[in-house]
Amino acid sequence: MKPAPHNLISIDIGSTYTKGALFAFGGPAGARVLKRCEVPTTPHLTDGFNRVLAGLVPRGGGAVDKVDTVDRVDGNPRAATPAASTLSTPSTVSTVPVRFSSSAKGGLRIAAVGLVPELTVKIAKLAACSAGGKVVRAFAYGLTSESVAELEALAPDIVLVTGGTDGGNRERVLENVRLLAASRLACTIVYAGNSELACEVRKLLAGKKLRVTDNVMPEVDRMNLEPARAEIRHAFLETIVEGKGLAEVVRAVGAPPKPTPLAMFELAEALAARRPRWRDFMVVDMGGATTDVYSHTEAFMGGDGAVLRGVHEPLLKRSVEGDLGLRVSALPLYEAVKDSVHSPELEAFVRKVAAAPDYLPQAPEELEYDRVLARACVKEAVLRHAGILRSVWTPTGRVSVQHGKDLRRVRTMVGTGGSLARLRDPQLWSGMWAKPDGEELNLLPEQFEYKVDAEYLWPLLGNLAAEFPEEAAALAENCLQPLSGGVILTPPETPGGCQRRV
Amino acid sequence: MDKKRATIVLGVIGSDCHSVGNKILELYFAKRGFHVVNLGVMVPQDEFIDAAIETGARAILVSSLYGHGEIDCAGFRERCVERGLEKVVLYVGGNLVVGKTEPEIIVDKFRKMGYDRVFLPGCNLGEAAELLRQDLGITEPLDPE
Ligand code: B12
Repeated sequence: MKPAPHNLISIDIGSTYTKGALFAFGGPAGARVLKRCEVPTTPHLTDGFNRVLAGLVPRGGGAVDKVDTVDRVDGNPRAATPAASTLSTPSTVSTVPVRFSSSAKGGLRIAAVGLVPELTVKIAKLAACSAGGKVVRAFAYGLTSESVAELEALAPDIVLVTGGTDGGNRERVLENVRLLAASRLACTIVYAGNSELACEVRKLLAGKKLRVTDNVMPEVDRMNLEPARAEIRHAFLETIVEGKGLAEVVRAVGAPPKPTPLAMFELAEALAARRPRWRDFMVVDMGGATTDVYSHTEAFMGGDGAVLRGVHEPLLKRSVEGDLGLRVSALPLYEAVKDSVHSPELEAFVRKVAAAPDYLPQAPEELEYDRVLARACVKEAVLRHAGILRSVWTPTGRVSVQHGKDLRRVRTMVGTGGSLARLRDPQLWSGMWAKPDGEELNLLPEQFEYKVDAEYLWPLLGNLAAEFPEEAAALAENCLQPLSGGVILTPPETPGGCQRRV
Repeated sequence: MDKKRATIVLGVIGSDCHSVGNKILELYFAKRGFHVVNLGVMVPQDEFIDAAIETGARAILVSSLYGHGEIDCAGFRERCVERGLEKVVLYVGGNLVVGKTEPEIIVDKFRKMGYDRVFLPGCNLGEAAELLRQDLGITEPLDPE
């Protein structure tokens, strides 16, 4: 006997739109999306949230498993807007369980402090990103009064303090902690450095909101992200609920929020655990201000006698590029990629959309500019996420040295985010492999299928992935549109245009 | 100074991939009671220093076996000083130069580069460990072999 379907509502409060969907899980038809709803995010976050909720709550009480034909517009990425009558509803009490995430008001802003850029600073950034945070600034070695002043001005939500292996560096780590103790910082400080110093750190930071946890790097070459992630998640609940105007929502729906990127992270984990074909995949979430890249694949395979130097990156990794996006970050994006794409017309378009982040181009040539920018954006973001294989000449011949993460075995690439859904560009990846020849090989995916989350359901399914991994993963897989038409994209075999293996 | 807390960083410098001696050094110094952080083969200078900063290591033991030691090891002491490891004890060992050169000349060359002690193949590891104990000011005896 099939279990009865049950309904769930998931809502994501983004920086520009608040989006939600009503799902039916567990019914005979499998996991389904019944209804979508989207409104502009309101300065008082609860207003937009309530409007979306009112648009989604099923009428009449009991569980529904029928697609609501009134509000849902099939195949249209722009979701229904709630009827005018529900817009004024000040607050809706939902009979259906609600889960939600937020990246509004700057998301979860984390400053990372570590010692060596290639070790604890890098690992602190990985921990912050994998907890759904955005690294607003990272500091290496000793803090100074200038860097502390900079930190105070940045006013991050969390300062993540790392440094030293267990039993390792004492002096510089303690000195950094002393400077933080003397600062005016009022935010949460998460300490995940040399664990031998925990007692001293507790004493020094007694006047601050402090969370002490296990070291992110207990030994050189051993990374331990989970405890720091957990503390960041807890601190997020406090920070968001208290500081970002979400307390009301939490009280109304009785569930804590997640940072949107954490929801995506959990969806990727669910896919890898539950769907056999999802071992080696990537997700690119391109927004107006930032571009997030997620990869799920083993970081280092060590074939051909290659040696890994530096940090062994995690199986599931997220990176955030704060200077790559199609609207708010259009200018820095153009700066970063203008060596390969540039024209006066494109530059004029970039200036126009950077000044008007809500602008939706209609004219064919403007849509083409957007596509050109998107292609450059995903290429740059994936290049930064990927590792590098360098040939080192030794007396016996060549030896390969790998830095960073090997993405070559990735077989599925998912595009999500408003822009990628809107552009639906089968050519999105056409320029990714093009790069001048050299001794370096960027460890990019070698062949993959490109699919797009055209209805932007992934962040919403992410909210449900930890509790309902099976159904969230199944629906996440089924809702994708195969943009490359089932074709596996591979690098073009033109001389100079593609990169060969070393 | 408690010897258990004496962390030492170990590795084979440059593009050198001779791994056997490195493994022996790791096992030996660990057995004698040091906390060994072994970076393995093909280690750039900065990576030794990175690891020493994070682990609070007080000594770095560099190996070079393939004959390019003179090039790979030069400037290491200066780099340590620049990066805040003024007091770190530096040892170097292995087949440090190509061909037949008088041991005294080799030792002198590497001492001038700033290495505190220089070891050639066939050196006695027991002596090396004992010297390291003294150089680090560890008062208690080492663990037995
Ligand atoms: C096995 C070997 C290889 C193997 C290595 C496999 C591996 N995974 O390790 C392979 C085939 C890959 C190889 C390659 C090469 N090799 Co080779 N190799 C050897 C060989 C035969 C044995 C090395 C060994 O394992 N010794 C045993 C270990 C226990 O001894 P050890 O390495 O010397 O280390 C001890 C001491 O030196 C000392 N020590 C070392 N460092 C330090 C540091 C401190 C602080 C202290 C206290 C002590 C210390 O303690 C160690 C433990 O007891 C030696 C010859 C020999 N008999 O030594 C040549 C030898 C080292 N190789 C040599 C050469 C030239 C090469 C190549 C350049 C050859 C080529 N042109 O193709 C390449 C270099 C490749 C590279 N990029 O590194 C030369 C070096 C000449 C020189 N320096 O003047 C040697 C000496 C052979 C020779 N007589 O010509 N090699």
